[in-house]
Amino acid sequence: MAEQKAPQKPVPIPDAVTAPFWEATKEGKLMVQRDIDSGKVFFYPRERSPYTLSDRLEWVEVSGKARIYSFIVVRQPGNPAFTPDVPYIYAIVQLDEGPRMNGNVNGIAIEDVEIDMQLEVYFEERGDQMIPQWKPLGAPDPS
Amino acid sequence: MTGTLKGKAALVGVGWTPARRKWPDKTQKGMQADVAAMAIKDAGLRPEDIDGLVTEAPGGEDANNWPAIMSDYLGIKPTMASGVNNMGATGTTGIVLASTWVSSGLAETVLLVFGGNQGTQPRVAPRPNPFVDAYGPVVAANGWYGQVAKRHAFEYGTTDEQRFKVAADQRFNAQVTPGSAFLEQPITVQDVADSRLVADPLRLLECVMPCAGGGAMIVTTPEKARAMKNKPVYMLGAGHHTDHNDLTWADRITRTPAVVSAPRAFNMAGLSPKDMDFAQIYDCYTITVMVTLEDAGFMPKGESGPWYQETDTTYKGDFPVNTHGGQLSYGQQAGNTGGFSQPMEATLQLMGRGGERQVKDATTGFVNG
Repeated sequence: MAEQKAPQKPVPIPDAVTAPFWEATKEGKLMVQRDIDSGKVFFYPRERSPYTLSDRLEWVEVSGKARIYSFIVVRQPGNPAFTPDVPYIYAIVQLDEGPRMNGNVNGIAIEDVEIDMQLEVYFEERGDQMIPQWKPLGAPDPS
Repeated sequence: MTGTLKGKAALVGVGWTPARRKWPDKTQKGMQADVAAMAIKDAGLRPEDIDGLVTEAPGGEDANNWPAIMSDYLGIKPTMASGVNNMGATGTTGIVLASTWVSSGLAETVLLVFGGNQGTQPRVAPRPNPFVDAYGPVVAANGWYGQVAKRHAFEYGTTDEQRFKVAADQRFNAQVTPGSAFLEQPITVQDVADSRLVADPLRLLECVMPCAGGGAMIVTTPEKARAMKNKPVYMLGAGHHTDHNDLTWADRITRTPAVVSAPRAFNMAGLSPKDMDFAQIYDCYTITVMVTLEDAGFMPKGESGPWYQETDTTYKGDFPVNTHGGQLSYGQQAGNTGGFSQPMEATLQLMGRGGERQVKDATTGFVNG
């Protein structure tokens, strides 16, 4: 009988646009792009600025502080690799610098999670990458 | 903008299948051909009268060049043909496109056709997105709209029970809509509350059920429409707005593009929400209907919760919404038919063909996709 392989959580595969982001997370830094012409920062990674369509972009480190913009409690993940983790928080977080990201909020009881709660980033090892994750501000790293 | 479609196009025929979980003996082309034939016959036309085709893009069975594939299959040779894809707004976008063709003379009589066989169509797998996939999202749009519901509760104090009323009222309507997937299955607010959490806070009975089926309509000029057998339903105003795809990057997730598109439509028509006899609102989830009604101006922003509590939105109520049961209770039919159900239902209502669910004295309605 063929051995059943346990489903694996997705590991990010950097491409030409996202490579600087994933190189930074390995150094414990959270980076977003800045449009040099307008000075505005944005996320997700792009080849041109959504503010000016300029391609004069640079990567800048952000504070790693954020707030919960909204969230759901996941009880039935789309990908079965996450089933052992249920229930867990899938959130939109808003960086103090403005841009939003998706992420999990860990290190806190599900029922205590609230919109607007202050968070800080930490990094979770995932395959050969480090992915940004979120915990309550000042809390120890959950993993 | 100065362009207008007011009174320049008319809907004159409808073809619509029941919603079924599966339709194993039917191909996607066959499904679309069935509803095309129904709509053409309903309008009192023949296939050779059709000189415009709007369908979806891509199709499922043969993803490429679906408009040509369907023209070939239907044996028509349209002057204008195009595939449309605006997700839930595909059907309404198609009606606007067809209306621009007939109002400008590029085509005279346009067939719109959508439909498919749930689960039997090949699907193009989306490119992996590590910024989403790495965090274990729930399936499809459930997570997005769960987050909208959560944020709406935070910003405006909307309660779960207020959202559940959307599902219960629409289910009431579906009980007298032939072809609905939930005939003889009425539900109460408590039943919605007792259904399982899908994307906490959204519960199962707040989410659409994918179904097979199809829908078609005919759009033509007012001049031709006046000579046809059905009472024409005239385009009075239309507006469109696109501002984001993934809700993560919407300016505010509790605000929909209807905040721009609806005023455009009302201004073109010279009408306001209070002139509407009903609204047919895209309803993948309960919260979708609520935020859209707010943005379209049917109540002040944030007040859809109390409004739903106080308003009977059934077909015989104070202000009917989704009189066929919506997609939530008719069933979300494949191939973008789901969002096309709202304009089909509005057209049937305004033709006076709503049957048992007919809204009394309805002359003017609002549709959103």
